[in-house]
Amino acid sequence: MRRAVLFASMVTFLLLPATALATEETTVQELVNNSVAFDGLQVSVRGELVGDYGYRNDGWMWTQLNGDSYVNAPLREEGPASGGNTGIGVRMPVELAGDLDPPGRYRSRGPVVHVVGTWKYHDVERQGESYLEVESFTVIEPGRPLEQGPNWLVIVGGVVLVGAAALAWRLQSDE
Amino acid sequence: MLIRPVSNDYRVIGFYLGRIFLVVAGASLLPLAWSAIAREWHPFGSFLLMIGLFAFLGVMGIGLDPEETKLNWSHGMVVVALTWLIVPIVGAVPLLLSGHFAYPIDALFDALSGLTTTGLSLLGDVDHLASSLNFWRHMLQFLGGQGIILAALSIFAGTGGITLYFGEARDERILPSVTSTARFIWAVSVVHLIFGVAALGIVGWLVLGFDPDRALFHGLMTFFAGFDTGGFSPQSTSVGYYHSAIFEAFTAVLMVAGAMSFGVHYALWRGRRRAVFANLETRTIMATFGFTMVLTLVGLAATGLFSSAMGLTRQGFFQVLSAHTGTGFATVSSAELAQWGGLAFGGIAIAMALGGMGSSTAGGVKSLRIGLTIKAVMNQIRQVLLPEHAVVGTAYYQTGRKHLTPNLIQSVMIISLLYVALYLLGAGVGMAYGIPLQDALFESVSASANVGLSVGVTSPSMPFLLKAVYMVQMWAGRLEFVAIFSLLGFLYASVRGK
Amino acid sequence: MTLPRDKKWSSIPGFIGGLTLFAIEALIVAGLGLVAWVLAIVILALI
Repeated sequence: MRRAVLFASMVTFLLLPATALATEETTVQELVNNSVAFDGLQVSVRGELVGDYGYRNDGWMWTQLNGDSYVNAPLREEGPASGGNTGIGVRMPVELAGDLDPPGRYRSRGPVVHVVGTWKYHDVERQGESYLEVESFTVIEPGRPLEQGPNWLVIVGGVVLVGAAALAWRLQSDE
Repeated sequence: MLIRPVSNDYRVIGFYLGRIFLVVAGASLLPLAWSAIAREWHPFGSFLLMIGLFAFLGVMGIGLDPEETKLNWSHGMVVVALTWLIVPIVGAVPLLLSGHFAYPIDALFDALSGLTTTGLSLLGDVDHLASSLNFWRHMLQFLGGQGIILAALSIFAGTGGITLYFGEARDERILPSVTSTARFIWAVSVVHLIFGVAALGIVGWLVLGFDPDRALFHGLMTFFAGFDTGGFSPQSTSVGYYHSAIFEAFTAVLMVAGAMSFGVHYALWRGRRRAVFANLETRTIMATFGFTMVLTLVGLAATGLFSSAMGLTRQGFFQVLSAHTGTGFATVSSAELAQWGGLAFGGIAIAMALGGMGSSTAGGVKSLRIGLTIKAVMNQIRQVLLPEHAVVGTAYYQTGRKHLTPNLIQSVMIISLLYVALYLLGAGVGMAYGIPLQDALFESVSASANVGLSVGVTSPSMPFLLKAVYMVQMWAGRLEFVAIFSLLGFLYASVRGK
Repeated sequence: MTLPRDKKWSSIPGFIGGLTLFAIEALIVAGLGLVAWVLAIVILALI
């Protein structure tokens, strides 16, 4: 009996540090609103990669991870205009980045990813910047193109107005 | 007795508005071309419609053909006030049609924010905005910063120049004629465009690892918003997007250049050191910058938000510079800025309220007024302390030796008080909606001084009245009240005059 | 409409003048940054 208790205690003691290393599931919004609370913690977040992939000479790739309503409901796909973006800067080792689909922009919905990494709040090594240092990620949804065709009614309206202006100018010049 | 305007008055105003609209229509060919090259056909149609509207209004205005085209003071002020209302209304059309705004008034808000070089934004999902629309937003800041009137002056020289120039809150004549002054201002802008974009583009490409075309895009947008102290950004995280001290450094150069008066630019270029360092504005802004810098750094250090000297320097310095120049770029999120309470809040808010130099692209009370007010107060104190018959000197240096006259002091103090009243008005309306005093005051000052930093109050979900109040604040702040009072007086006289 | 001849029109910065202006402004920013850094060190030491 005593051996069993001793063994259980040892196992519990050995496993205790693992709770500190547990990844905290959170959102981009939470990281932005409660930055300091997550400082130094390992977090996992879901979001869309947008903007640019900046491959720097120091071996890191920087980009932005957005966690707002447009991730699930892009504007180009009849999603509602519901406020601004919510994004954080993320960096990952260039080797980890691999071959990513284009980041989110006008013509593309960037890859939706689930990233695990350490949240750095006012990182001293980067002169006070806050960002997520990615350790691993998985692509939940690949990037895809977003289309927006011309609005012919608006184009016709524009042509008519320009034509009217030109005609009025001509008439005035003749006078 | 109020004299009712006659038909020729309206026609003169319409005539000059027409000229200005034609200039803007011409300038709008740039975003049109951009959208065609980028094959962004939806914005292309919107720009075509906008150009049609400006061109049509322009031709109609010119067609009014007044008998007498002489522009008096009142006409000039009304033209300026109406330009800064109508151009955003028409300029909002492409923004409205983009689908990125929840309400039509939000599109007008952004267009006005752009033209007044404020930088507060209600745009949704800027990270997926068409590049040509992003270009148009930033170009609005360039047009507004340089002054649309200035643009028109460069092209339509001669009559009306001086009145319109003063109406647009510029009171410096750097070169003998308004036209040559306007052209000097444009030349300085082009110089900063070339070197600023080159520097930022090279950093973006070689240091940040962007594709060359993207580096150029980011450089160009940052130039427009930085040099014109506007503060829009092509990405939602503002300058914090770049995570680069060197990018921020070049951005800071553009912000400082934008907040310097063009008279100081001229003096710097000509090597007239005395003109720079003896200048009352230079001395005042150095003092206020130092003061607000100390306040902010002490505040941030006291709250323990930044523990390293480099972190405190980089983040604090950039934010104070952004606030004082009236740019509104941010390297921290709105949520974080809202946490910069106490002295740090005080430092940033005071920096915003004070503003940049006069005859620059910056907003706020402006350093010339601050300097003159301080000088007047010091003179008053000296007058009291010295013997009754002692003569207190009233000279000051601003591109030449000038004298502090009672009339000058009166006008300086009136405008300064109006700014303070505007700051408090917006804060009051914000508080009426339950927004805490600190946040309401911050946002109000940001709008009135055309800065654009936000603690999160500005959002599509904010009350309609608050949006309207901020728009009035941006408009009034940019034009420094005089043109607006003239417009109101003109409208009143139209109705009640005899 | 002919634009009036303006003798001062040539008084605008050329390439070298422009570069000088930009460089001076960069020096101003660098100087301000240095002052800010010194202030930061002093303030952190005192607080």
